[in-house]
Amino acid sequence: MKFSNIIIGFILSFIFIWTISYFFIDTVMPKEWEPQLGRYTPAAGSQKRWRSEGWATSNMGKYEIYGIPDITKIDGKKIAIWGDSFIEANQVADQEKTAQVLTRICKANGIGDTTSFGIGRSGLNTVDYIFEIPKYEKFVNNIIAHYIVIAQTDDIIPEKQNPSHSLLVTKPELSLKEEKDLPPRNKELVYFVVKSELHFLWRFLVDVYQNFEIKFSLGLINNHSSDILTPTSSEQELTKAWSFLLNNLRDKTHLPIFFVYCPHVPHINNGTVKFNDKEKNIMNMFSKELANHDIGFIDLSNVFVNYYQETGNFPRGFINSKPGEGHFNKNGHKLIAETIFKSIKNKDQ
Amino acid sequence: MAYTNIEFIIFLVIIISFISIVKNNTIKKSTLLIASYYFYAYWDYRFLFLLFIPTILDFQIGRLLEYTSDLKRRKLLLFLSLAINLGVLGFFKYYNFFINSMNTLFVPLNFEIGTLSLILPIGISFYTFRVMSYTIDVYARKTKACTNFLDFALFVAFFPTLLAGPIVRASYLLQQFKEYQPVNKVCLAEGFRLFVIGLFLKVFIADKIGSFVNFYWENFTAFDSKTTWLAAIAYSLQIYCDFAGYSSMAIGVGRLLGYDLNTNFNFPYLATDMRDFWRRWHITLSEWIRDYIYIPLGGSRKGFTRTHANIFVSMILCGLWHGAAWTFIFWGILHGFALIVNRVWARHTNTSMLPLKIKTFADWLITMLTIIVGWIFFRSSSIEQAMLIIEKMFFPSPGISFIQPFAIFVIFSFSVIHIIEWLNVYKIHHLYIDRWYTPAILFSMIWLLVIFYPQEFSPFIYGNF
Repeated sequence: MKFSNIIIGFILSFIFIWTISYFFIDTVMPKEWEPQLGRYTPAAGSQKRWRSEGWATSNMGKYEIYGIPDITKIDGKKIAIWGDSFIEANQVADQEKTAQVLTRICKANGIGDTTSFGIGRSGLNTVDYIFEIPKYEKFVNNIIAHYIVIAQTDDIIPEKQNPSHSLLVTKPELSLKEEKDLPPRNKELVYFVVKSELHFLWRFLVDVYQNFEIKFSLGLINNHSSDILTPTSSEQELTKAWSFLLNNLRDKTHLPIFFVYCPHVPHINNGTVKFNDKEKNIMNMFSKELANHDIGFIDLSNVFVNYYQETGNFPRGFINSKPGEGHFNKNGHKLIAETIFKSIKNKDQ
Repeated sequence: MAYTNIEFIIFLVIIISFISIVKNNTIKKSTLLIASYYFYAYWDYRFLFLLFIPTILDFQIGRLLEYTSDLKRRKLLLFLSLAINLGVLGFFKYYNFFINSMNTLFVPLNFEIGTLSLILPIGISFYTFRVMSYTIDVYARKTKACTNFLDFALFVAFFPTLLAGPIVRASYLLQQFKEYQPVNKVCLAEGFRLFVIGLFLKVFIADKIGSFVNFYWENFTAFDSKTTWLAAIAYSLQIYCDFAGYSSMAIGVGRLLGYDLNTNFNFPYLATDMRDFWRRWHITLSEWIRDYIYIPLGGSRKGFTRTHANIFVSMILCGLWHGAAWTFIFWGILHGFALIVNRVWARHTNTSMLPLKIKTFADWLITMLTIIVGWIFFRSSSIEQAMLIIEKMFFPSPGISFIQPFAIFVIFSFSVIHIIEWLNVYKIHHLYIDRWYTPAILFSMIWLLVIFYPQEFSPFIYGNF
């Protein structure tokens, strides 16, 4: 192998991976300080390409809202849809996200002056929304309702939330811990990465930095798996924690709030399509607590199941992931938007 | 320590750096022996004794066999070596399988023998076969007994071949240990090439396609016939890339250390009959089965019936070697049966009137179908599951359609490469060291596997044997 061939080969391979990565790599977005929200948000005007699940390009607007350049410049009524990565919805194009679909449905049904916008980010939970709702209500005029989409009970169970976000803690006493918003590191470098399309290199280096762990000690195989059972909260403890959580949520806004529960049904398990929701009991308990706090509850279980039974399609999953697994596809988002619209219509009636 | 871990890369760089500097063969071999023991102990240090047993036992038995002419005594020594080596292998690998199988017979008697909580020592099938081939060859006077304990210890524990082969013959490797093998630019280039190709096949292809295959097999009853066919073909490619990838890495590591190891794969999916397949797939194992089971049983020298019985027994044992489960035995039975049919068909039918290309294609198609069906038994958790999957393949079955694009891409790419190989033109895919494009393609492979590294680690399929 000639040395010159090695050098040329490295350069050619770099060009190759640079070209390939434009089509097949999830991109990064730089962050900027957003004074209205008092925290850092993905820079308005930036784009996110998502390829690892689904295949879509999303456009970030101001105030961490996808698909709408500036929500404050839109007149008329607004509906806020909150959620985690399921509302962030990197997997589908902007026009197929729940909020945008809802806006279209409203227009098609004579409610043309209503715009829906989604605020979602991977790992967000109900505690985050408690801190964020008042901020958005300050500068976004005419919000008429908040819809909070939850896809798993971790979003509402104490100490189960993503630790890098806001938390509901029970010890030493019930309290809410707001997410620490740290300034983004290497901002100029991220901008350089975005401009030069070196997302693949950035993701690789960040992955290595975050997960680098080497072990050289001799091994010892243990073929007895030890199942450490984590203590689960009692029904009483959960209800108390939820009451605290929902009191705080109710205090932040006088507007109607609805929780939209999107369970993991239907799903494939052991070779059959299952319609049972493992978290149904917990959600039933939670819905009773919601009613006690004048907060609405919408359950999409039957909507998802009926959709599958009629069409044979799953509301989750993509051709490059697994059927019935992962995030909502465009069908799932449409079902959620239609259900929310029905709720709006019922409320109006 | 898997080849795909960063720890292994660091370990290998240190070893290569050190042995490049030392010019003394004894120091080099001692370093490699210590490295090999560390490599094995990294998995579980308590099982190092399993390497010490054949090292000490078979070294002594080999020397005794060399200097003993009494036939009875020689047979006894051989029996002792085989009994102990196979006994250890049988205990760790097959004890629970046989006990569970017997327990199903005892069900009407309401009687059950307890099983043991055993860990399958990694690589045991491979190094046991390697050591047994040495003892048998010394007994048969095909090779001289090794007189250098360091060489023999290194032959047993040589880390590039320790976990999943190739099953290198003693005469081939011990000969290389006798003299200092330098680590030069040619070795480094060839070793790097083989290692990267292997890593790419394993990490980028096998592991990624494995995610689809695993999901299918966990939920096979939910899917339709199209998806079943795709999963079956995908698994055929997964196991090939996984094992051929590992072998390529092992041979590459051997080359980086200055040693030549046997080729283990030669485009097995170009085989036009089952005999051809076994000349291309896991070559060192099929040669071992041929030389130490089939031929001693009589091979093809004892008439029609006996020849076919020998083939059958050899393939059943081959299946059993792969794993302690009825599915592997059934896979062996299927291959044995296919080899017999192949043999009879070749002898007693005349297809020369068919155009050669059509005949070749038909032969290839039948061979591939047999192999794919065989792999279904190999992958399935039970014979019943395998039969249900095969039924879905050959009888239209409704269900969920899951046509994964990456699986399609891999099947298409492999088809193109195999067609080019068969046409014997423009063998770019061989990545010969002296071609200008080879470094570009190798670096591109490295980029692809670091950028698209799978989320979950998948152990080598053949490492479980």
